[in-house]
Amino acid sequence: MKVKKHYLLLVVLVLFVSVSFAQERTISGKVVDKDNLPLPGATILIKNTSTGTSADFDGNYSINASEGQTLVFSFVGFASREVVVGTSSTINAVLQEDATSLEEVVVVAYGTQTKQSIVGSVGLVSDDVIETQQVTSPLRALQGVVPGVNILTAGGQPGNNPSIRIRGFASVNLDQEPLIVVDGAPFNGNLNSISQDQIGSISVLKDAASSALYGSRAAGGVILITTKKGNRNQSPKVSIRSQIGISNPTIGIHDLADPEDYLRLTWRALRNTNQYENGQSAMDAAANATSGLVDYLGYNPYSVSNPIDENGNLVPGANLLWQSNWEDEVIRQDYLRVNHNLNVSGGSENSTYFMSIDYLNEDGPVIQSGFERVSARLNLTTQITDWFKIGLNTSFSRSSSGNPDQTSGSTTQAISWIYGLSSIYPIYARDANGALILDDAGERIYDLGNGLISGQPVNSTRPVYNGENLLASLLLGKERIVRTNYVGNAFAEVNLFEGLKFKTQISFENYLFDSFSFDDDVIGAASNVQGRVSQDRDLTTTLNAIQSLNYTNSFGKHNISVDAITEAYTQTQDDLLSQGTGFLPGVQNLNGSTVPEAVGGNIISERINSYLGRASYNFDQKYFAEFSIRTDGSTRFSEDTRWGTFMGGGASWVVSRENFLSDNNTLTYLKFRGSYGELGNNRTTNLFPYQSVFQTGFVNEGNTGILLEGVSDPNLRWEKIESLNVGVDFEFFNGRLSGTVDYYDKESVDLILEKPIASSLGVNKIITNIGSIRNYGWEFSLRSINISTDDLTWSTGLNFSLDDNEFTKLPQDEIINGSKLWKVGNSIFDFYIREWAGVDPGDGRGMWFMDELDAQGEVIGRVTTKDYDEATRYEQGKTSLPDIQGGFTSFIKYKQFDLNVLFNFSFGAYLLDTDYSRLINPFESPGTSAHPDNFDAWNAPGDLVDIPLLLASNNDHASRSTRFLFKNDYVRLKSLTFGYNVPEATLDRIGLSKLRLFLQADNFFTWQSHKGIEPEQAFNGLTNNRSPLSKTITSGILLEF
Amino acid sequence: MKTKNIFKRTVLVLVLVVLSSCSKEFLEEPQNTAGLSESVVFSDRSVVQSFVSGMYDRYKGQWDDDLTDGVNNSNVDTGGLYAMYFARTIKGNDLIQAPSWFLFDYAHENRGATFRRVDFTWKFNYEFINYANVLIRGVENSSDLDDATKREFIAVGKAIRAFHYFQLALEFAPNYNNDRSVARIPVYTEPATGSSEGNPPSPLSDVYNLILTDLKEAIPDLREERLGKSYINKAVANGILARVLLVTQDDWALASSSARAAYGGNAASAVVSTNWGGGFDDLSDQDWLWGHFQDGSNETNFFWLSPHAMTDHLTLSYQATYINTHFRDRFSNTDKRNLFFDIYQSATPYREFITTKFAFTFASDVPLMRKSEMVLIDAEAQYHLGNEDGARQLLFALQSDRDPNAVISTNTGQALLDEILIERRKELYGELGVEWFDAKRYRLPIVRDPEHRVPLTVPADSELFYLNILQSEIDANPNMDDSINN
Repeated sequence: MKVKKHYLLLVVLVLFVSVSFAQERTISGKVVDKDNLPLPGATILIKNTSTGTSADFDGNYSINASEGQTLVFSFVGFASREVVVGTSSTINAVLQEDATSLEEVVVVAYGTQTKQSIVGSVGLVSDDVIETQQVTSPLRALQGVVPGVNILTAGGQPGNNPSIRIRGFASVNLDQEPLIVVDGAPFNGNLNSISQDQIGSISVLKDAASSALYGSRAAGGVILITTKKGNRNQSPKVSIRSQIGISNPTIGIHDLADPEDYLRLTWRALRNTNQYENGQSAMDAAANATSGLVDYLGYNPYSVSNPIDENGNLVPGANLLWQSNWEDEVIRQDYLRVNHNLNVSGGSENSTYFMSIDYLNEDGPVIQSGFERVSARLNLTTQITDWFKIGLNTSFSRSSSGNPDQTSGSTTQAISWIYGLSSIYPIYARDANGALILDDAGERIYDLGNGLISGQPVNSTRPVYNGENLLASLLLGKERIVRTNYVGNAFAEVNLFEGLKFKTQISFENYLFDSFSFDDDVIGAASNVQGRVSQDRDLTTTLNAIQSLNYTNSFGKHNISVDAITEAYTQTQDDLLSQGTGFLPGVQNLNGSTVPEAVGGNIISERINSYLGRASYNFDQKYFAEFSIRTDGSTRFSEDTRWGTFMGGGASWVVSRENFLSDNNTLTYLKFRGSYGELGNNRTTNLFPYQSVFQTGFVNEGNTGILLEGVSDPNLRWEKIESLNVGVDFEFFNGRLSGTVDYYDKESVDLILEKPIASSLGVNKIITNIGSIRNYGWEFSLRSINISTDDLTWSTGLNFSLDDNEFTKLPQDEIINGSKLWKVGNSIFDFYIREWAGVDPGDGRGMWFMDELDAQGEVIGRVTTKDYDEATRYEQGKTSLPDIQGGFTSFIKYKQFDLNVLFNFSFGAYLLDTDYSRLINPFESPGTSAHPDNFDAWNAPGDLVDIPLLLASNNDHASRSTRFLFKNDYVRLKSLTFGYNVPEATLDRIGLSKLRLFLQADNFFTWQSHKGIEPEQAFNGLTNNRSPLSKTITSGILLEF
Repeated sequence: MKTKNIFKRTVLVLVLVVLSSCSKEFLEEPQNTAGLSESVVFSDRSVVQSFVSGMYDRYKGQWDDDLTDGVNNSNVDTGGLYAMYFARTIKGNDLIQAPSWFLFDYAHENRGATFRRVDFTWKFNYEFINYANVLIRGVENSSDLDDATKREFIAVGKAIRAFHYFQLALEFAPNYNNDRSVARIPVYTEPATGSSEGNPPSPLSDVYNLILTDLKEAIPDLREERLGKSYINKAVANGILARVLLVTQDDWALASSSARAAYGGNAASAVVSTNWGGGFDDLSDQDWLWGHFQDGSNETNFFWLSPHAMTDHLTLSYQATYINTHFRDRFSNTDKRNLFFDIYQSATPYREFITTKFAFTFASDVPLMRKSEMVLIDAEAQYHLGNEDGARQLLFALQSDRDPNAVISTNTGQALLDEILIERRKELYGELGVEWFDAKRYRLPIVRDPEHRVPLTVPADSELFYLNILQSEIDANPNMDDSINN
């Protein structure tokens, strides 16, 4: 390999370097802050050498140095200080807190930098911010905290990972999630395996300069998670946190009609169909609706055979025999969340350690849903000699969750069931008179609605969801997912000579997704095969190796740093599935299966080989410049298109260090930044997207079958993102008011899109590089320290972004993508649907607008139509993307009390609520739930209403149109923490260093413009029967010693 | 600083680099294990055969329009070939559908350009036409296959292609003999590639010419031997040709000879069926020429299976299909096909009778073509050829097997033809949509009795006899515009 030759050259060079040394002696002293408190772990470096040490727990240090050398004292959050070694052997250093914390060391791509030297756009989240939230999946903590990061959690299953979009939508078909890098290695496991307490910091790399080093996977941005470490010479620190609380659904679900209302509404629909569709007289129509109602629905929850009279009202004396409130049965109230955590950290002169154990048990809003996790981490480093350091970060996590279906479209999906099956259908089987049917043991029997007793004329066969019962399926069946994640990450660092450092890192990750599903042998869809068990074991292994050389040096005021890196990445997906049927009662193991129903599995790998370089330069910490380059070869593309090179660079200017501003007491810090570069996206869903193959796995009459997948583009290549960022950082009055403003403009070219093909060709699409999309916007982040006295501190923060998205090139003038119209100038989420024109008061029919054409086919205006198919789809100028979104924080500390709040908000987005539309005018499909709003439907000629007449026959009234497009603004109190810290005097008596009692509330309050549904749905503004998120309030205790 | 130390550092670095450096083949090694490439498929007879097997698996499965996305969005009423036939079945007068799956087909409300029925029927048939074109072209271009193998599989490809163009013509165009110039169906005889563009629609005459040419070319090269009864062989291809000729009505001699080639020529032995009373779920019946095969374990479409899962009221399924009481009245008490029962004692007229013709399990097979149907085609052809006596004899061969008390028909002329058509309904109800098919090709109305859940009359030649062209096709095909649905 090429790089090897370079090392040989270095060796030769090194051998010829002769170094002479002045007289060395031992310097010792103490590093303290302005209050004379020791700064354990402060580093002491001899300037321009790699020799250094760190202060012990009491702030003491000793180091060998010679006269004339300069000692550099530094500590995170403090301005570093330089002292020239004179004749004295004792040097004590008092470090001043760095108000701007510009010397703060932040984690960036393949290394660290000071905050001051960043030329791109990096969002930083410290553990303080994470601590104020309860996030089972840690990146939910970014919501409302980092501007330009759009976060959405779909469904209330605990442990669900949020979808994250950094600076808009840089792709359409490829994975747009940011690349997650944990302690320097790409992470392919499930994020919910990392507990929030193990995270030291999160860096969000948003622009090209900061993320170009991740090349072909950086298009969606990069999130670097750095776990906590111990400090050298630190006595063991033990921290214990324990929290217990209760949760409730944030938002309920849409209102549903009770049995009486449901029957009355259905009666109206039947009468209308009889009268207006089938031409019956009004009297006949009503009479037939009364007599046909029970038959239409199959069930009768009342004590009389025709419960609704010919006026559409409940017959007097009719008794309700049952009422199924599926929502109460399926959605929980007041469910538990428990989280305990133990962290131990410390270090000796040469080694550091950090150990963490975390236990979490969280229930979800849907019965049987829950998430229980144990995660452990051990991070070790040791300095073997003064030039050789090794370290190992390992983590293990296992979670087990009950996962009843809450997001798919299947029958027994919890929310879909509630919206799909009205309250007139009983939970337990009933006879024709409505009495409970009991089994031989006298127990109730779940009602499946498919004829328990053959020939029973009523209360026997449902027109909807027959053969199933959600409660039976949730309570008798089992859906469990176990996720096990092991990560081992070993590194070694060798200081070759002054300024030149070699580092190698090998990480291995083993992520096992293990799902188990049991469908009951007596009740439900698998009863005719005596139960079904299916098990899936999907193993993802990632092996990543990085070799890097770094050279850092200063020549006067010129500071340079150069990196040369190679990386090899292999990811292997190893899946195994088996499924069997035929179980004895009580048996749920595949071993007990008598009929093997399915087996499957595949092992498939992808690899990336990369060469990287970075050079950064600054002059006097005033002018900064940085350039990075990465060449990637990815197996996802054919040999001809496999290699791609990505470059990024940027510069910044710290204006406040110029003479003309250095004495300014108002504007105390000002920095301009600019960067430009190219990033790639290789993250296709298919690992070999350039090949269309004959899929295996088909079988007919015992003979192996294969089928062609469609057509593909053999010359498929990366998506390329050209990204520009300009920004300014400023501080007034020494940090009293500080902020950042960024403008970004990034264009994805060679966008991989599904090009629609006439389906008469036998294929519907081809995936090829055919488009361009641009994302641009502004990001603002402001922070103010309003009050800062000894007793009272109050600070506030506001961040928000204005993001826009537009296609700049498409293969066709227009592509209709479901409810959206893609064309140049439109965003990917601009609604393009039929436009509701209201209800005709004359006949109660719904109307939509359609174009009026002249003889030449030119549009000359628009008129209304009652034929949905005829109606024209119009661009609505409305999008599912918010105009503005962000967060607001406020922190108040008074003596021992503190209060922290975080709101996140989103304005300007629209939601096409099909959860609601399926409940409106639903009576063409008998038995599905209905919203009480249906009572406002047109009832007689002349009614001026917005809900068309109810019909029990096929109609398009509830079809997709602007009728169901709602503004989806919301503000959410995402977290609130109220804490009390026990005073130090008391702590000393009980031997603790910290004792804190606190209350924490998450998602506690939501204000929203469209009610009845969780506002976090999907980026595309479509609903999908998702269960609500949870709001959680817990009490906690934190103690340290 | 000591030289020794420098040396040690350097050695250490070299060791670390060697340990973690990668080989030259690093990026060449991973292979696509998800499937086989086209060159592999067409290099070996057994792999070509597995491509054909894959198609028949897809016929009976849970179809959705994307094999690659890993998600199955299939619906019970659009799951495969069986669902297309049941949608036709339920459009007639003899069977009644409760408000369950297929309710919109039952109510003749399901022809909108964006509806699932239209989407399925269009994409499903064209998908197989492309497979057939891939098969034909792949086999032709192969340098590894021998000529006999090539001829055999080209014939299989042409039979499949003809079958699906025939379905498209039935579903998306008015009756052939009304106006053969109507252009609604684009025709393709080449496999789709990444650069393919949608063709303009071809006149119905061109579509039928291709169907007839393909079948006539395929039949001589097809073999009788096959891997199983779910595969198209020479007899099945003859049967398809016979059905096509029922529509074109211009070559009754060929219709008769094709039907005879399919049923074997001996009507009396051809019609003997073990499935009447046995649940119509067994492919091994000598009467069955072609069907979907299921075994209940790794070959099953679970609850997707119409007609069985719709019509069987005695087991866990949809229990959605009822029998028109007037249709029931057409069967004598001694007819073994009289399998109608009043199990609900319901006051609702449409719910009076159910049938036990079809028994639903995960292992039920589905009939797609039976010799009995071929005998009736032969009878119809004889009638049109002027051989009414022959027609009556063929009709009686079936009738006498089904009902020991049957007497040979004395009908002549139109009454004889009507009797043949009624016998088709009695023999084939629930299977192929025979009422709809016969009404369409003979330009008859469908008149429902008032007992129906949705009573209606579909006038002869009504547009309700064909579907609109799929909107997404119009949107993506540069050679088609909205006017096609006007």
